[in-house]
Amino acid sequence: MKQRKNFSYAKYGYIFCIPFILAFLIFSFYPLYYTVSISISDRQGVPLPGREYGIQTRALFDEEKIPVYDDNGNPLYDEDGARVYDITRTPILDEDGNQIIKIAPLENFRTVLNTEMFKRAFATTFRLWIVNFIPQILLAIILAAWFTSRWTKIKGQGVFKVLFYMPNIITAGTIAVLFSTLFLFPTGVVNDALIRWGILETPKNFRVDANATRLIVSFIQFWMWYGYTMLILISGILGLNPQMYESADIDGAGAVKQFFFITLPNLRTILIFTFVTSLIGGLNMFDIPMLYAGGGPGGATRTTSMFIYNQAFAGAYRYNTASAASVLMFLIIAALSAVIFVIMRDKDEARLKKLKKAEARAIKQAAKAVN
Amino acid sequence: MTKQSECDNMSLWLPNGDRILSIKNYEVKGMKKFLAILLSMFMVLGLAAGCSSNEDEPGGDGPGGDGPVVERDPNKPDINVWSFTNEIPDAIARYVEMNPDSQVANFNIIPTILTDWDGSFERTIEPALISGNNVPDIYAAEQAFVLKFTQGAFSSYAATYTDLGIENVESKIVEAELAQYAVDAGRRDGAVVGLRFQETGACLIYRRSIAIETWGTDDPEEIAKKTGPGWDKFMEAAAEIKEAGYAIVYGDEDVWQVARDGARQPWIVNNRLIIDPAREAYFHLAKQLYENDYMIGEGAWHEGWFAGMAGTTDPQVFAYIGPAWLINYQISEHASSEGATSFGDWAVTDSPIAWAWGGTWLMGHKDLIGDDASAKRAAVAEILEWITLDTTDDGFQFHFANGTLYQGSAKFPDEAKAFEDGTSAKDAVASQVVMRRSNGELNMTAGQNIFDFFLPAGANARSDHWHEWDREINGMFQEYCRLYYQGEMSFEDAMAAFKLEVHETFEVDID
Amino acid sequence: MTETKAKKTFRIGFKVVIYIVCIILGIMSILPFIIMFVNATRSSVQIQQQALSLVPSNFLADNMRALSRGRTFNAIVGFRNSMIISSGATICATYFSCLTAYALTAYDWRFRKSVFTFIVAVMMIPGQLSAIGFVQFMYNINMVNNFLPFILPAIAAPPIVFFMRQYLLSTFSLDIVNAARIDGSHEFRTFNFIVLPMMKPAIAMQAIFVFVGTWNQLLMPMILLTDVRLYTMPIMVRQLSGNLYNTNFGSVYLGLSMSVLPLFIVYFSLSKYIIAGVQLGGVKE
Repeated sequence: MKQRKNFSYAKYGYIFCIPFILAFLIFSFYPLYYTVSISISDRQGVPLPGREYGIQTRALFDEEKIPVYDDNGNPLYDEDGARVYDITRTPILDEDGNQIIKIAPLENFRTVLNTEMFKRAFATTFRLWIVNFIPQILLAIILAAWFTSRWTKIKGQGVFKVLFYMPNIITAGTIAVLFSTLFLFPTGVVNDALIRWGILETPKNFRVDANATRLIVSFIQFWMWYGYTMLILISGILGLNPQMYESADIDGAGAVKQFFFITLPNLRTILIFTFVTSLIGGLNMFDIPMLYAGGGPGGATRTTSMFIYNQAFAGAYRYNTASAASVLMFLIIAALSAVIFVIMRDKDEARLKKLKKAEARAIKQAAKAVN
Repeated sequence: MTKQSECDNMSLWLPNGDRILSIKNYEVKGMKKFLAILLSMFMVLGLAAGCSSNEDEPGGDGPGGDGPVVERDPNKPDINVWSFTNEIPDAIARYVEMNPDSQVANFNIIPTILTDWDGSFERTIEPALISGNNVPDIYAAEQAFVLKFTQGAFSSYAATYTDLGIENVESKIVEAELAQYAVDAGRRDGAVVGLRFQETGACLIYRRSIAIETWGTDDPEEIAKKTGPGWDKFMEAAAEIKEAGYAIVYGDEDVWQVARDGARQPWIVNNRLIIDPAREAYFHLAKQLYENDYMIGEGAWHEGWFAGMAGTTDPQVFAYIGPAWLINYQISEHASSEGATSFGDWAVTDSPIAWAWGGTWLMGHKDLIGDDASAKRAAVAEILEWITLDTTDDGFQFHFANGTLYQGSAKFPDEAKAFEDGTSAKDAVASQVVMRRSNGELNMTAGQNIFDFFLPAGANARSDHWHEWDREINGMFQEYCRLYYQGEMSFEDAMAAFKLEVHETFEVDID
Repeated sequence: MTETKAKKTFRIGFKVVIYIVCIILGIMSILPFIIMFVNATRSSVQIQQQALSLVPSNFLADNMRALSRGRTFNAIVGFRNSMIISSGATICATYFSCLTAYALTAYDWRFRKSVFTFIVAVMMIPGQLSAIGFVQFMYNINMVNNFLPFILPAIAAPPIVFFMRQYLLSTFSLDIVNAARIDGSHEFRTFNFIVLPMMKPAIAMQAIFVFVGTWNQLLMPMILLTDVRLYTMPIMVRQLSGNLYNTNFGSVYLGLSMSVLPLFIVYFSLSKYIIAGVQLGGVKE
């Protein structure tokens, strides 16, 4: 591809990347930076009593301080008839009456890491992802192999390909509703069927069973995404050089052998892409566990994204801990992606590169020596 | 189609030689296509930018669509009304229809209606208030979270009724005989920022035919003695009803609402979680109902719960416990739908435990107080006063209690027809003065005047045990109770898990 | 090709298995749509009694009427808003991703490798996790009730850049570009009129993914679009259940069905590219 080095054209490489870089800096990087900056402060989301919102600081209203109540829940007043406020939880103000935002780099991270809910949510998220991703990638690979195989030549495969992506078209909300009705207690379709077939004697309440709910959530994720993964993998296989297969045919290698020794190894880049995007999507899982199960039963399907959402928006408006949890999740995802890259990198190619480098160095040295 | 398109693209998949050829074919087609794409892109961006400026009226809006109920005159400023039902936005539109010369008619009423059963309303109005852009002028809050908007985190966005220009608020409250507890919930440091128009004291709403089959009578006074007062009597009645082949309630939520309101303290006092004995008792109540098959399902506000109202469940549901709105809207709708077996088969009597459920408080936004908003402020004040404090026969509450609001309305033909048919809702209202003048006879209750029981039902209700995080904490509590009574968790584990969740979500101390 | 009989039987048996699996998966994919469309023709009571049914009923008109009573449901406005957001985001995402991918493949410039590594690295930044910062930022620059926060961020879509780059690696040859250069074509023109049309299959495939994803967004639009005139279709459908007189499940299903129809049109009109497939290069360079 680099047949000709033409320096006068190189500047277009920069120019054509500018929109991407700009949009990235404005819409991804800045919010991310903002999230990180919140994660090391004691900033909260709304003018909760004694809490502060947004970038600008401003004077607190009297009613934003935290009042003290007696044991019956009635507000306390001092001798002058003024309300008593909890000074320990009321923020410190500067001379102009603006709240001083405290910066505590590690405090929020410590809080999050000590939160049982977060640890559990992380384990849950990982579990939900693994349980849906492994069957998903396996099925997708098998289907992709079938649909690209010259040996089987499936008729009507176009229709199947189009159909398999369709679960991805419906909104998560609709899917959640449909599955709720399927697994309804006591008279849902699944319960009816299981009783009719004699598998169950009395209706089972799937919603209170942690394992069943997790399994259903994983299944929905699997069912929504295997078509997408299949399409990406098919694209990868179609991009492989047909000559490789031709020579394999000549060598007499069968379809299965060809798949394992030609298709899979050469599909590496696309597989890494699939793994990483699925990892990101999976560890950010939100819609289905939220809408189908509400994170229940007893937090059994609460994912880290839901934890973050609940911390940030559901009543407490704890932006700082939510941001810290977000940053932690980013670090975890980046680390896991790196692991995927390392495990799946082309070992031969890396070795080849090293060799080439050494060769170049040797040539250089030789040239030097000659001079 | 499938075959052909496969062929169309075949050239693309051939090895190098043919590719340039096929690309050249694309070149001509591609030009037009690209121009089209580019054009539409600029159009889209232009449109998007156009929509962003608030004054601009994007084309194609207003009447003419599928559901063009939001009428919008581009020459008039807007009053944004946020609520979780269409009740208030519709009432305001009807007010304008009845009073075309009022100052409210100089504004467009723009409703934002988001359901609140899953928290959508709160999650959306909160950012809207914070953002300060296109803020709600009038907004509603429900009992489960009203304190957040009147006394808690979002209270500073509400203007006091007095600042909005409503005169003599306190004396009007006394004249209208509004329930003290509800007014207290709407006070911020003593000043009224929110009032409600409904009275939500609850009654037992039961099926007459099932009562007759079980006890040989459907007389409300007799049934009240059979089912209450107190949970012990209620459980005895549940056993007798089960004997007759019915379920006393649909599910756990029906009882939870009652138990929740029996508490004497809020969930959080001095930043510490308090589990009131009345709430703790719900764990055991629910277990009893569940293990004895006194109820048939769980949760509420879903198909099954509504089917119980229609009388199409097996076994059928004897009663729902709730305020007048429950029979007026939910039960009425589902009991009169096609296939329902329970039309006119309902009656109202005392609840086994006195309590109240729901209610809509109305607030005006603080931005209305500025000098430049005086016209809008006056219009908002007029609306709020008409809905919450007007006790005359033209006031909203009198219409609301007698079902006459949409009588002869051209704008709301369905509701007007409901009035002609005698099926319009007759809801209990906040003003006791109005309630005493009103007639609550419904077809659904075979002519029983429901106000006989709903009028005193609110007398013992209180609000001092409410908290701004009620919705969230109630949800967690119910969830763990459900796991306990269905045998998934022990009592101790469920309580501990509940406490931990509250502690970690809200940073409150736990025991 | 000659085959033994046993081999042939095996092959046919294998094919039967494949067809059975595919047909089961196909039914699983299409069933929810059928249920949704069928329920749109059924009454609330019918749905209460039997939530899942494959037999259409005759309440479509009733449900339509109930839908039009929804105070903020206006299909035309909803379609228009959703269409602006989704097509805007789709165009931005595909066009600029192609442009960036082209810059990364066709030109040899100093930071090419680093920029590509950078793009792969930022692919790992989960968009959702910077949501808090994004919302705050949009408040601060007054981008509430504006469609741009849903369209412009699509310009930077790292996974799509990656996808497009792999596609270019497998199909693109610099010879055409050089030919165009000899003809005096400007670089930007060459990209728009020669490279872009060539990338149509890959663009179509990503367009489907982006369009569907954007159309179905709910959380962010609900937070940032508070003006009823700017509601997207999914927000309007969401609001149906907030209607006091409208716990009418039939009309909710009708609303859901209506909101999925445009997606159907887009999907099926582009589905020939899914059938034909898109070839992605597996080699890095």
